[in-house]
Amino acid sequence: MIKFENVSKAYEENNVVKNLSFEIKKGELCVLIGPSGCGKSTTLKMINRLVEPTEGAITIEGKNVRDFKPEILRRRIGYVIQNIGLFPHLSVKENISVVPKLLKWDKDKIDKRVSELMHLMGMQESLFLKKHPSELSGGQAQRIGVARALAADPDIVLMDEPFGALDPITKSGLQNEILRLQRKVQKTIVFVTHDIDEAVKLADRIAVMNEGKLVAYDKPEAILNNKENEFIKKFVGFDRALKKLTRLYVEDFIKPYKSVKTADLSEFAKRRIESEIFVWVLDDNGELKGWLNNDDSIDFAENIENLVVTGIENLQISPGCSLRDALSVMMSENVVTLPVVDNRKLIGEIRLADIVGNEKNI
Amino acid sequence: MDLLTNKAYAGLVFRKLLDKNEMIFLFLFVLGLFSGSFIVEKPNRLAGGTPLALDSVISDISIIAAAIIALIAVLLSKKKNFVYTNLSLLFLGLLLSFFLWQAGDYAAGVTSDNDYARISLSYGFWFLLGACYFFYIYNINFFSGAFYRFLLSISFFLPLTVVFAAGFADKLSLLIEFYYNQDRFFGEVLNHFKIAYGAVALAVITGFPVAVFITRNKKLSAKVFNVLGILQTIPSIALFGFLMIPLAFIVNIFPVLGKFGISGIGWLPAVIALYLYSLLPVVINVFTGIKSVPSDVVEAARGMGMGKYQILFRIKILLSLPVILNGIRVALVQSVGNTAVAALIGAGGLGVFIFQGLGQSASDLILLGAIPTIIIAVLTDSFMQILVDYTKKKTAYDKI
Repeated sequence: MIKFENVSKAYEENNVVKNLSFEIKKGELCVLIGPSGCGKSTTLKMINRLVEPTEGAITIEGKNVRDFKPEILRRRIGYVIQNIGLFPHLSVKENISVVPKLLKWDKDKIDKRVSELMHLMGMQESLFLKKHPSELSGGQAQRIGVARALAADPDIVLMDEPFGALDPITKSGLQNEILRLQRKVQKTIVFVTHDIDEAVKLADRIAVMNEGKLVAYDKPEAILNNKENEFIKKFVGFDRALKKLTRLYVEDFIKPYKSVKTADLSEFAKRRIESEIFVWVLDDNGELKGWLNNDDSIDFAENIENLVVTGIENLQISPGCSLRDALSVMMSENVVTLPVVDNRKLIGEIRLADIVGNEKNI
Repeated sequence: MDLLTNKAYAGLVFRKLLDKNEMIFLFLFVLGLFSGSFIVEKPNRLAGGTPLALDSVISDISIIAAAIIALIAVLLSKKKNFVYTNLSLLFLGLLLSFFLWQAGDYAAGVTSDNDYARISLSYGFWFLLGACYFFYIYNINFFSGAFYRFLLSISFFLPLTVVFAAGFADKLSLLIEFYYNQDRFFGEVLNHFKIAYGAVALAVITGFPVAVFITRNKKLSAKVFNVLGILQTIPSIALFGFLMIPLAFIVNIFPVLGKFGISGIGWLPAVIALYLYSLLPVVINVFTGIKSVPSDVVEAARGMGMGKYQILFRIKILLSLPVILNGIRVALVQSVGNTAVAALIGAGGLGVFIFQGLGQSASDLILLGAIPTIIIAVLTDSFMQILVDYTKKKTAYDKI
């Protein structure tokens, strides 16, 4: 979809981007990553002609970007920047409708699109549309920034370190949002960051850049597995194995579980299944209540319900979480098995052995 | 030792009770009350007069009561609560109008005996007025919101306005001068506005594009500011003088221009000079306003496909409105003041009364020109400040 052919950019004597050639496929989220000054932002800005290349050509679906008038080209490409860049004198609604207005959409169409986007971003229209950017939190403002970029339904969205200035919690929330959105809207997204964790979490394909050159362009797993290239090795860091866990999800590692309902506890005590070390205890609605250690103490218990370990909300994990999250919970709670809970129902369990020994994680 | 600590303690309590500004107010107020010259009685308009202290106009008990009311007003205002401050300012307004009314009453008595005799307000009265005005400005700043400030201003100024409107002060020399010059007065007020505001309007119309243009050129902007800075250092009277020569020369060559009222003196050189003075604050503020629009906002606008002029008009200018309006505010206030001087070269405006008064050493005629000039400047300043604050709120980049 977006093709770089021998693209270079020089400011006077200084070569910022050197002979770049790669292609971003339609519907993929491509992350450009590298240390500060590696030319990743410049590369991004050459796509919508905020920066003009000194040499080479960039084509979108076979057409050279130079054949478009810059303004016309940019209106067809969504753009999100680090400091959000919302217009402070315009309301949220006016901010979102900037590009549709430039494209001279009629009022009804704009109104409809704005509601659609607010719904998509999970923001209440009545609460936010009339607000000004100064009244929004950082996370809310960046959501509006993303909505604004999507306003005219562009095929391509460029994001220049969009979450760089946000706190870790908001950042992670917005990353999940992007993944969710991307599953829905399937845009071609070019995303610049210097945060390898963010790249691994979001990317379909990662372009690693250093000193203006493309070092590698591959799937995140392949980048993490790359042990030959010194630069990549250094950039990824020692915890490459841990990083890979962010790409794997709990739902793919769920194991069947043994459980018993509260009402059946006394029945269970009579004929124990020897193979199990413990069982999950559910209440009558099938919601997780706790666990019961399957040891000899059960035999002598007068009231077996007192033996159930309850208060295990911290242990529960949802199927959409990454293995890294699961591992983190295991370590902080000092357990080796976690209950996987979806919509308050126990759907399975995940074990430490499966995380450490999974074949995908070699 | 004991005495010393007691004294220090008393000082501490006193300082806790009144802050610096409140002490300044009370000091000036008391100075006004007990100055030896509340009004001046003159046998005729131009002759020297005898100063009269406040106690020859009102009774001693009234003076003490006035001091107590002023103290109460200060204490009332301490809460910074709207109702209390309103009451406090109303008290002071009433006090001032009482003084004015008493002075007017005294003047009526004197002038009924002798047609030529004049009673002028003297520095005792101006001290009282100045003290109260200072207190009003100090307190009004604790309240944001144009509406609250408006109500507070009404409380303070309404009693004074009533005294004037009801004619209680008509026999004071200042008012006699006013009635004598009434026909010319409003015409000159209008002239004053035309010259002062007209010059700034011209500066905005021509300075704006220049300022926008030089934002793209560092060398040129430095030169422009150099020239405007030098212009600013020329004293106004000198500039009026400089302009007489080329203008007179031009009119000599094209006599037809004379038919439009153009000559070496009059309104044209005044407007040109004031225009030149106004250029610096206007151009510098438009320039810095546009320069200080955050670069990420501009980049976002560019990245979204706005053209050069769309970015300029829809983003940059709108975002720098508070700074631009502030420049216009400075230019207007400065221009209103300088217009008074322009009367020297026959431009008209309120300066006419000032220079006439100076010529005749009729101090009340001077005041007839000076006081309205100050009022126009202050009102202009407040009005522009409201606009600045409003646009500031509308363009706030960070949380307010």
